[in-house]
Amino acid sequence: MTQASTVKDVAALARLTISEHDIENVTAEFNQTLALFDALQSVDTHGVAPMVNPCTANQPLRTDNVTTLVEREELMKNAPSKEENYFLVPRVID
Amino acid sequence: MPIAFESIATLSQALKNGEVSSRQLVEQAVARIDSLNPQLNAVVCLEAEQALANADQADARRAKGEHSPLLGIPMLHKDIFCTQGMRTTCASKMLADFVPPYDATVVQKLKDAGMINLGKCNMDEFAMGSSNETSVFGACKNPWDVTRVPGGSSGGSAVAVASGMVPFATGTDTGGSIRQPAALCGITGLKPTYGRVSRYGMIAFASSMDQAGPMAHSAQDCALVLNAMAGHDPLDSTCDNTPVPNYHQTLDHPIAGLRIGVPKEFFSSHLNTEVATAIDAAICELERAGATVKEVSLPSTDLAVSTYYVIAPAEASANLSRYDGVRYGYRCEAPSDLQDLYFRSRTEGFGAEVKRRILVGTFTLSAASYDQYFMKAQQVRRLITQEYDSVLNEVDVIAGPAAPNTAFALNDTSKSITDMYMEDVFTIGANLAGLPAISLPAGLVNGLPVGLQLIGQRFGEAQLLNVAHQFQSRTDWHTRRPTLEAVR
Amino acid sequence: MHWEMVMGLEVHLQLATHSKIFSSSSTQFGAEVNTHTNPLDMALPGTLPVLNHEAVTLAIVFGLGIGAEIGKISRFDRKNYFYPDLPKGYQISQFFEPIVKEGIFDVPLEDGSTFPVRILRAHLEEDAGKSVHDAIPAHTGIDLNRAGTPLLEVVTEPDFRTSEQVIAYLKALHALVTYLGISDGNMSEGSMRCDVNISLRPMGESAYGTRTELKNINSFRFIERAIHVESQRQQDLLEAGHTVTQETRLFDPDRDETRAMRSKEVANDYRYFPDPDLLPIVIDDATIENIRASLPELPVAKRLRYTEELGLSNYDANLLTQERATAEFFEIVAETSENPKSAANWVLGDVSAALNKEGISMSDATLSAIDVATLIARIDDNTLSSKMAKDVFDALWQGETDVDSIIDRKGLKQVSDSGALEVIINALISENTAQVEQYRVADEGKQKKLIGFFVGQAMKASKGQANPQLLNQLLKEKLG
Repeated sequence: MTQASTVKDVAALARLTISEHDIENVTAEFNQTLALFDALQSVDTHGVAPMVNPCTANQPLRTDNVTTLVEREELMKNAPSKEENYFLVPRVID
Repeated sequence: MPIAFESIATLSQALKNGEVSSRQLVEQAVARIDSLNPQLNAVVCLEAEQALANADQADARRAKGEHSPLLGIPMLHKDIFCTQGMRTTCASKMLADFVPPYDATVVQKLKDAGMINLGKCNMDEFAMGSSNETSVFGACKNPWDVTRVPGGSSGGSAVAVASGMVPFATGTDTGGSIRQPAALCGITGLKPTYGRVSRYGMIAFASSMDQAGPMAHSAQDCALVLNAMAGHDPLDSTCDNTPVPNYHQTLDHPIAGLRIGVPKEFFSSHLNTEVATAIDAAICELERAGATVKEVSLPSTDLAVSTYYVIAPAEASANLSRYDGVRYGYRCEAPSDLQDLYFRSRTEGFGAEVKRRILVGTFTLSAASYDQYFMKAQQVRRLITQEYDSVLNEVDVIAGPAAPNTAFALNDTSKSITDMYMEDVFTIGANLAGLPAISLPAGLVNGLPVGLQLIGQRFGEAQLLNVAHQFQSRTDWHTRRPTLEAVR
Repeated sequence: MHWEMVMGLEVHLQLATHSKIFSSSSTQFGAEVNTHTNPLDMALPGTLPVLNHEAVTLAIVFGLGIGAEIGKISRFDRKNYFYPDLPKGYQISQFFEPIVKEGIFDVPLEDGSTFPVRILRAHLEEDAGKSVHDAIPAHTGIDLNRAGTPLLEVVTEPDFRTSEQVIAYLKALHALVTYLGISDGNMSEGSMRCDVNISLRPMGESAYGTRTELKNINSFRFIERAIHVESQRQQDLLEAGHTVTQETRLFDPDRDETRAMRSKEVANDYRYFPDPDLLPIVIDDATIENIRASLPELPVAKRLRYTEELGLSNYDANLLTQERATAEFFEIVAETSENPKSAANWVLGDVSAALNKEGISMSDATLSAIDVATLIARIDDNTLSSKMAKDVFDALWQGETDVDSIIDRKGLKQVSDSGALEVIINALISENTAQVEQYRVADEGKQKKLIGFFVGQAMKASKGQANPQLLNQLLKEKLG
């Protein structure tokens, strides 16, 4: 059983907050979902290579050419906050 | 001429003969959307004026002697495809105001083929759902019974076609999101082989399984559109460059001698007995058409659900990290600092099911669980793929139900999260293995459609469409229409 | 107690491609904010990565350059973390299967010996964008021009014990990558960035102590200082009975201290997993052999050739091979002048001094190697004295060309014609009979002084153009 505190930690990794009101319910659902995965543990996968993608081709390579598909103004049109062509976030201190 | 429920093939012929103009088709489609949508909630964005302008251009091209089969045919896109200058939301508050500066490859290709896009279809938020109930726009309703779900995630697309708004809509299928709503709404929907259709510009859910495909009344219409949708795209590394055959040309091939495998695991306790009866009857019909039917086994059928619900949320958890409130999309009010901006924008911007899956995916990828869950699921995925491949060495297509039940009730609180996940039990295998699969109308149970699923060999779309077309030449399930009060 | 410093390095090299690793945006430095961007660089929904061929080639070139094994099948993985200049919320990197595997890089030391550094791996990844903290009040501005620039991260084993070794390694690595042309190595523009993992342990102990990571130090001077400051900090902690916390720290050159990075305070779990948008990179033997055949001569081979075939000292060979442009310049001078030792002296002497004075590097200089070679030839054929040669060099540096025409124009030709010199000497002898008499009776010491007097007078008479050696020889004959 995964504890509520672990679920909260995982949520924080994904930058999600779970309210105190929801945490019990979310933890229960989380454990219910993990229980669905138990079936996997009984499968013998010794020596089986993980499958990343059904595509069996190799990575195609692009020629090193420069092109501009869309202009900056269009690309930044949806920005929630911008100034002097920068995207803005609250000041970050390293 | 009234166009609701007419096939693309018929409309195309009428356009060619000058019996109707593209403008008239678009006007009728818009009128039908206006009258039906308040009830069905299938369309979340309608750009009538732009569509009419495009229709006029198509008519002008026709007048100059152009006769490509899709020129001037109205359609809708699932709201997961980026459409330049047209709001694209993925049915999420996160992208409620997002206007892409570019077109998805599928959008571009259908535009190039002359199709007229009217707008965008409702869906489950970020394609995560099997009922279309996780949409920020609210549930979409099944036209056969508006108290029931249309299935998901491509629910809006299925409903738009099933209710006769447009003859065709795009869908995407990660775990059954084309086939299950097609089945529940009584239309034909094809999920192509992974890599057959470009994913560029299609908002990612689970990158190793997402695949776009056509949703229409018939296999014939699906073939016509797939001709334009499929093909290599240098912008998608996983898009295959196998030549695209003309899918329309092989529809009439006889299917005598076709080897059909019916997996016994598809007729398990999950399957509603009346649905099973309808599917049995449909398979018998294929037998009468000359196919040979034998029982096969896919022992990992149930295991596929576990495998899928590890892999898809894991990939999604990373794919959805870009929604951080920085460059586009929802940003919370007055963030106090960067972390506040992240936490609140994402917590407020995503719906419950999306957050549920991000949480599970983040967990299975974390250092402590990676080997136990994610890696294990990737290994089991290979075993499942091998299982399908070995069955498809013995038979040409696998046949069975697309969904375990007919359309279920909206807001059904008796269904647990994992019950809901089991809705995908028959469709998920084709996504894990990357195989093409089609769902086609195969009967009615208590007035609700049932879908027959055919799964084919890799890049075997032509054969699937051929078999489906032969079935549809011998049956009329695909011509049955819901009796909506608003239908005129 | 005596402490031993243990260090391992992670160097990020920006690869010299025209376009980004997964998009077709330009990688050029210094562009207007957010203009070198495409939908992919902004991580717009639905965009997908497509790998740049040249980035793969340059990574292979590097691997072959250090004699490492090339990964025949490598992959890209996602490294997940949130940061505003990381648009996708994950960095595409190579975690499980890097393109370059183990190798040993022999770093030359000044004494001519080499210091072997074990390279653990080198992998391809994408750079992040830039967070600008001082452009907009109370905000951090995000510029994504750099986002997606191809990087090769070169990771060593913890083989370093002194900051001198670290600097020697970095200089050799810099020389190697600029030789190979895979990176411009421009540290001030961030083309070569260094993270140092550093820990202390009691001398003689084999287990490692807890390490800290010093991030993104971008000059040799700062690296040396940062290592010093951080090792001192750790030593103070340990000697006071405290422990070192494993963390990422920044070196602040203004305050001459290191401090923990706030943004790295939250424990992270990068959740690496294979990127499903990208397929395996498969490199066949033919590709590797083609690239190997196109490699230039590497510094280590050049050094060997300079000492063994050209007779240079280890010290000179080492200096000459630190930059490819310098080595190439030297080689033209040496070959054309047929005097490698003089060539080395000129390149490391006057040429280097002139470059330093102007603060430019060899690759920026307009000086012609052929001119310098001709200059050396004119010294060797006695046309020029070394003093005159310096005048000619100054003219060349000022942009004049063709050594012989400078000599003509300046009238600098050394008089090596013994007939002409004899005329001058005969005149001197008849004008200075007293000194001539003194010379003839003087001892060896006095004679030397008197010869000096005559040479001075003859030089004056020849307006400085007399060949001093010939003059000496003729004077001795006439006076003796």
